[in-house]
Amino acid sequence: MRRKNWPLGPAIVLLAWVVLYWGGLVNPLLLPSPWEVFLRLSRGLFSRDLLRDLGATVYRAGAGILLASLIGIPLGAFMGASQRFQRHFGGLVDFFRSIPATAMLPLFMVAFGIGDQTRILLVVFCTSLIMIVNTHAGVRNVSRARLMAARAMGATRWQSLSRVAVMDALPQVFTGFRVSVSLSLIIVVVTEMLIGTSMGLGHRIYEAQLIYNSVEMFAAIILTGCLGAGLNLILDFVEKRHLHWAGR
Amino acid sequence: MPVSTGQVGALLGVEAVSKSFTRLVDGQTQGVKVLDAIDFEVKAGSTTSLFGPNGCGKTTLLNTIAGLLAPDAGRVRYCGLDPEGPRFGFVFQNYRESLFPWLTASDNIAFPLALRGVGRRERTSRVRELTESLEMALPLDLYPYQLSGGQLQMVAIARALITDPEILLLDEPFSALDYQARLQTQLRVSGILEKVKLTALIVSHDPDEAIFLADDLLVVTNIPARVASRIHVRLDRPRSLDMMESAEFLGYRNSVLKSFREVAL
Repeated sequence: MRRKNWPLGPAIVLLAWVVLYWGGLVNPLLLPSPWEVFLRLSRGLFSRDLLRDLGATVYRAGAGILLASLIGIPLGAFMGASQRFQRHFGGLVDFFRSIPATAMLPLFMVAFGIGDQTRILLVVFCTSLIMIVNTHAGVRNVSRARLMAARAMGATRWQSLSRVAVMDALPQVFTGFRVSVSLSLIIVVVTEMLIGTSMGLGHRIYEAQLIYNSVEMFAAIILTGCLGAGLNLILDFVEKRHLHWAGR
Repeated sequence: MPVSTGQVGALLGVEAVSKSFTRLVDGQTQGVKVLDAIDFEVKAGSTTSLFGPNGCGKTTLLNTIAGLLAPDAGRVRYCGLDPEGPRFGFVFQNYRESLFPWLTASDNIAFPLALRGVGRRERTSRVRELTESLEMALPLDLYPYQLSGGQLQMVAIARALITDPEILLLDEPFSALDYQARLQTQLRVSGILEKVKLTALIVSHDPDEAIFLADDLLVVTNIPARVASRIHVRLDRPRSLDMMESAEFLGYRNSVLKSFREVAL
């Protein structure tokens, strides 16, 4: 049997961390003990405090993404199908998409307060635009030969859209979804630092920094990284499983 | 209800069909005449090849016959076909484009049934029935990207046949295949057409292929397309590939090429 080939990168980074820390080469405030960070992480996961933060962040990002998909994908599909809709609203979508999420935060705070709804709505605002753009591009680039074929086989307008255009556009829609997932994490973590909450990975990182607790900060950062990487693995799996035919 | 097959006489009459398209040239719309009083008949159960230069409007003609486009003048007459609208099976030029990459071979073949709301169980059994009766040894659970060109073409043909059409329209069905696969597929298709006794209309760029499959061959001119000559191909059925080497075949080939040279070059 072949030995499993583990990637070297993470081991090298960990080794460098250990050497830098025990060699006393870096201020421990900037680079705390890896062992203590590990202990804090496992304690946090077992005593549930970090786990609660993780849950809060996932809930906010997830709720935002879900709502954004419900809004952005149908709108994007409609825009791809209707020239007129695209002509009237395409520029607007591009305009709003160009605004960084953080620039909209003060307005959203005034409008929706400083609770979770503001964070979630900001995620919805930004990611639904991404989904509109990607879905639109996907639907617009649907193979005309396939649509012609469907029509010749007797597909109604609705069937052409739902069975052909949507499927043909799906890989691009999924790309929009993936980009949205990473963006939603960024938005949620940043807003957890900026506006009032008692939970969330962003909140944990910011609080730890305020009291110079770099062990806790590192633990929360690593957990955030694991969340992002984990989501990526899941999305990879879904793509291999359901979109293996894309582009082939 | 298949009313048609086996009936003697013309099944399909194309009567003086003309069609123009408007095209934008230098900001002005110009009418381009594509079909010019096309006139021919197709006998029930026979195969007619349309052979002509590239871009001569043969695809437009197929679409007009299938009722996807309305002719400007003339008409298409259907005799003894389904009064609810004749049933057509389509095999498109580019099977790689016209098959759906997200569906398995089986689901691709069953697609027209799915559009008509036929249930999953019946679709699967009809696909199996059809591919078995035509002796298509297809890996039905694989996706298009996992199949060879010849297999994909068989999927496309099965998809056209699954709705039990009265007329099969094939638009350059072999143009994307290499020579070997092309010969094999031609033989299979002529075998299938002989077996199901289906009325078929084939658009082709290849004289050998057009003759090999045809009972009647129409040489079509450059646009505006007219029927330049009509050749009745009396090769025996079932057709076999060695017929392509016969003197008779070469005789047809010569007259087709002569007619083609006169109208296209």
